[in-house]
Amino acid sequence: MALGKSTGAPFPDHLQTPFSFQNNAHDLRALFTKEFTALDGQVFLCRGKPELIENIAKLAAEKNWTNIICKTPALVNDMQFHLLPSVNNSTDEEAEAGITDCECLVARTGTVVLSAAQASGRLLPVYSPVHLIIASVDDLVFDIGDALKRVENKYSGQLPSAIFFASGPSRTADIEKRLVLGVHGPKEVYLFLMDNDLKQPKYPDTL
Amino acid sequence: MKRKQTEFLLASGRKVFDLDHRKKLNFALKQADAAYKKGKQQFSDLETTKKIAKNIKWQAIENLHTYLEAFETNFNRNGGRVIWAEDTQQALDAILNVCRKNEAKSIVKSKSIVTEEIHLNQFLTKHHIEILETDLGEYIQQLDGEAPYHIVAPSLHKSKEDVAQLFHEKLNVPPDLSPEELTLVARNILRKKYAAAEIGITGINFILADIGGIAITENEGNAWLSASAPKIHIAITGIEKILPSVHDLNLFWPLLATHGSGQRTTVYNSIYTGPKKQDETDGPEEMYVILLDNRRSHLLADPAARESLYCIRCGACLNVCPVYKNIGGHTYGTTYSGPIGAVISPYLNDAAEYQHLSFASSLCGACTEVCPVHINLHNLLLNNRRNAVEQNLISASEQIGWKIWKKINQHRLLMNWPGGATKTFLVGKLFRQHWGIRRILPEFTHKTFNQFTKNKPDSK
Ligand code: SF4
Repeated sequence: MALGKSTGAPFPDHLQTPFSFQNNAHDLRALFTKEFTALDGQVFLCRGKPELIENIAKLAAEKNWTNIICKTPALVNDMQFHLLPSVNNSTDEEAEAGITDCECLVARTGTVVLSAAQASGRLLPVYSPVHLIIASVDDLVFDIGDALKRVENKYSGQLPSAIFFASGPSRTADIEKRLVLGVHGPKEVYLFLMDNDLKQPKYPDTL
Repeated sequence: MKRKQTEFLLASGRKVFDLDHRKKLNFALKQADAAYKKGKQQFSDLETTKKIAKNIKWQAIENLHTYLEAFETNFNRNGGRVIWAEDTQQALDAILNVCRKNEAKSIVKSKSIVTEEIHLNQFLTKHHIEILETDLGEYIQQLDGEAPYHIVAPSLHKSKEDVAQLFHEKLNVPPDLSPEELTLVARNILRKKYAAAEIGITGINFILADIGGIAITENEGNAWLSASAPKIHIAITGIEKILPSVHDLNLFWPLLATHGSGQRTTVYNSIYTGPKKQDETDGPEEMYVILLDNRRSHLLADPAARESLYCIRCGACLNVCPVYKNIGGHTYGTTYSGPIGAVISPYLNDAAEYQHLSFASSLCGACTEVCPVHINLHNLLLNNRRNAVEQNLISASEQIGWKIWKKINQHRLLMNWPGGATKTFLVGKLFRQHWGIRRILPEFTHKTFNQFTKNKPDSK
């Protein structure tokens, strides 16, 4: 590739300037909840497994879901999802909702980080008409960069084949700039956030 | 005048006076502008952010070779395969090869302007392979048999009634569906296609050298599905999309979101590092990344134009351009429209056919001001104009006009000799065609400049 004369740095004064968004938030949980809600997601705070199961059951009844898919063994066993009447009794195609865990949560942008290394895989979170995410407050990090570091540390150089940063339901404004939710991905996204005294911290503190 | 230039002048004349077109375009661009103003508030110091971004892209492009090779090494290690394509034909042949090897009959595709550049859809259709656009805007354009209108918002110029009518005609649905209902129609049709397709083709927003991965930004989820459901994933892009590190995304994702669609973050930002790993649940068995040159090395070789390769294709410079606002996307007759299109098209194609685009600008600088990677777009337009003059690409009649103009202006006597009417006539003769038939040429006054200053009361 022919690179002729090299050009000098456009802004030499800023070559060492690091970039980061300012973290003024004391409470990542509050920040995440605010941003996730602003993106049309909904957060349920759960103090304990029974409350988690109760919240999901309530939502499922309200929405009339009869088929929910969960492929994460830890969730199915630990969380006793098999006690819910509607979990894993159909195929992915017929399911009205999918339940997954996550890699972490980005508070500044209200983002759920998922990866192909999770048992739910690549397709369940995007193919399901509704996506339910189970997370814990230990999953919260401030920004995208922090999330990337956390995923890198966790998989120590062997990154999953795909990493997804999902912020709210799928949306389009392709028809006259009018916002429509649920184009190809889920139309509704719910996050069940568990307090940390209920779950062992999953990661060493990387922040 | 070259064919492309004549077409451009005719089409822009038509579009500028098409009030319906202007109304739709202005409506959409106003919405985009309002969103951008809101989105950019997330940056406490946008100016410095853009400078840092430009420095990073400068570093990436100055060392393009090194970073691309690092990408290849790392991506290979992840189990993927890189295909280098020098030109359109090599890229098309590579894709056809993968199709043949896997007896592919249908392909789902997400938004990728590079596939427009190489006319992939026409090529595959000719080879009897179905290729379906899955981005809603692109799907609409494909149904209508029309090229995308804007690099970020492909069907920006269509009203909701236009789309409802189109769906009615092509898909046999009732004629008066709402945007929500139309979206649902498309969703249901396309769901079946993801499952059936053997290959998914996507674009790429960033090539990540350090991890051997690619990043894709989207709002709908169709790229995610196209990269995950079929058993083969092909991603294609131009070589300039390189970033040194995955950690640069902390800056580039929000920057692209704000300048592309006025969002703080786009709904889905995904990183793909290769095919499905052994212990993973699902994903493609094979993944290819096609790196296309297609004369981008001409931009690279010219230090004066090189910074145009920093472009992250956000589309912001189109949205603010007064020329684009009036003539719209198709009029340019190029894959890349707007200011950045005017800058790079003469390099990516036959310069003689596309130099006129650099003259269709008032050099107001709105593009330069908005660009998230601080590309001096209006300087680059001037650079193209200079190239056009130096390479003799300007029409003979204009060249003669300027020669005479120069001659006369160098001699006070020649300037003073004809009367105002004669001068007006002469300049009309020389420049009428280049000035534009709809613009009125200024008239010369009767008095010469010398007479004028002599008669002024305060000039002794
Ligand atoms: S030139 Fe700048 S503003 Fe225009 S599309 Fe590229 S990055 Fe965006």
